[in-house]
Amino acid sequence: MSEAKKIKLKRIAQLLFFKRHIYPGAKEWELEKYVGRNYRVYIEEFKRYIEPLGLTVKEVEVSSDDKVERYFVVVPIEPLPLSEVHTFNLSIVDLSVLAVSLTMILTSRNRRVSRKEVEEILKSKFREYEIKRSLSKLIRLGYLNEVEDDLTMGLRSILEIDLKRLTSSIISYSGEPSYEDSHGSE
Amino acid sequence: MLSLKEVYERIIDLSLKVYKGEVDPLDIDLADFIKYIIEADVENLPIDLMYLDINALYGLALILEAQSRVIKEKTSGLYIDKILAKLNLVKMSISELSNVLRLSWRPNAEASFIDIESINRALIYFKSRIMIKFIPPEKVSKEFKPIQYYIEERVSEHMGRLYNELVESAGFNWIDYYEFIERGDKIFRAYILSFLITSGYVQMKVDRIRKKILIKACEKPIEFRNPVSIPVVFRHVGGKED
Repeated sequence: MSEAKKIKLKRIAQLLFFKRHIYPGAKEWELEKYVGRNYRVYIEEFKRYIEPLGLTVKEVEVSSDDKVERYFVVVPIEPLPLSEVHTFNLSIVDLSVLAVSLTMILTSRNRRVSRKEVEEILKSKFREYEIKRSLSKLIRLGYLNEVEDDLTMGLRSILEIDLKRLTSSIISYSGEPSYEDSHGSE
Repeated sequence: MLSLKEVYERIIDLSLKVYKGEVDPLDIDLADFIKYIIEADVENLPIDLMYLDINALYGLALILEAQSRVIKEKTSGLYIDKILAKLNLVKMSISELSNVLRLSWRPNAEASFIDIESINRALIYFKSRIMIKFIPPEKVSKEFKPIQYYIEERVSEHMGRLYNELVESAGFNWIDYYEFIERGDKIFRAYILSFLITSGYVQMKVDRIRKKILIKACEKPIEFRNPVSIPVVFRHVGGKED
């Protein structure tokens, strides 16, 4: 491998692993600036290095107001075992609150749902203080946004959660555990 | 026949309803509205109508954006039926919900680090700090006695009395926190006031610009959405207020 190629791969690793902004990973313009216009070639090369470690690079397009931005983040290939999820500071309550909030946001017409409506559904499962604490935490971590009295999807949810899979799992729920559910939570 | 002003106002109102999610964007036929806007003689419009024209055009752009998003969602399979989703969310147990999210969650991998420049900056800062006078623990126990209050009456009675005093002195307006607690036994009043604040009968805010802590009595106890703790510091030396 040439020296120039090594330097570019190192730059990609630094940009994607070391957090320098509020948002995780790197934006497209950063990769263009520090790696070059042909950064995609190096991203593919970088993927080959991290895939044996169970990681990959995910590309997400996020539209906000009048512009569309492209983000690149390093994520695990496989879902994490439930025991490891706890180390990310999210409890089972937080995960359930996030699942309900995201589904409600996704079913709303304008990608925003009244906080009260979400709290109403959550009240059937959790105590009021648990709901408030968990929603505050998810807002603070960037998984949800609070706009006026409504909840919208946070950037981290867009980057880290496979929304299609989440909604299809909830819609296709039949009350019986699926193969994945029973084998994926070791 | 509607006047041009009425057409503009209708478009603006409709776009706001779409933005708030009250109207399905696909129910709107944009061509009808665009026809009205194109027909307007923009060069000879009075300034108020010109302003409405710009807003209406912006509103139409918002509706168009909402329409394209809904179509995109419907075709990508992300569109889901709200009632069915709600029913399933209520039916699912907490562990089922968390498991569904976990299986679709790929947290981003991040590395934490501290560079040599930050360590140097921290060292310079640390050296610049003035050493706080060291007081041995045995001396501390003599100088600072623990503050204890044996409240014989029920705390709620004290709370009621302090609340009434606050309402009498300031009504339901903001008042300086220190000024209020210094009117009597400072620590005791601060202690009782903390109960009033926690239970929502008194609101507290920190004015960072004027460097003041303000309190206000509430007519009805307020409900906390995102509760926070506010530590308040005041001087109290040797049992005497200072």
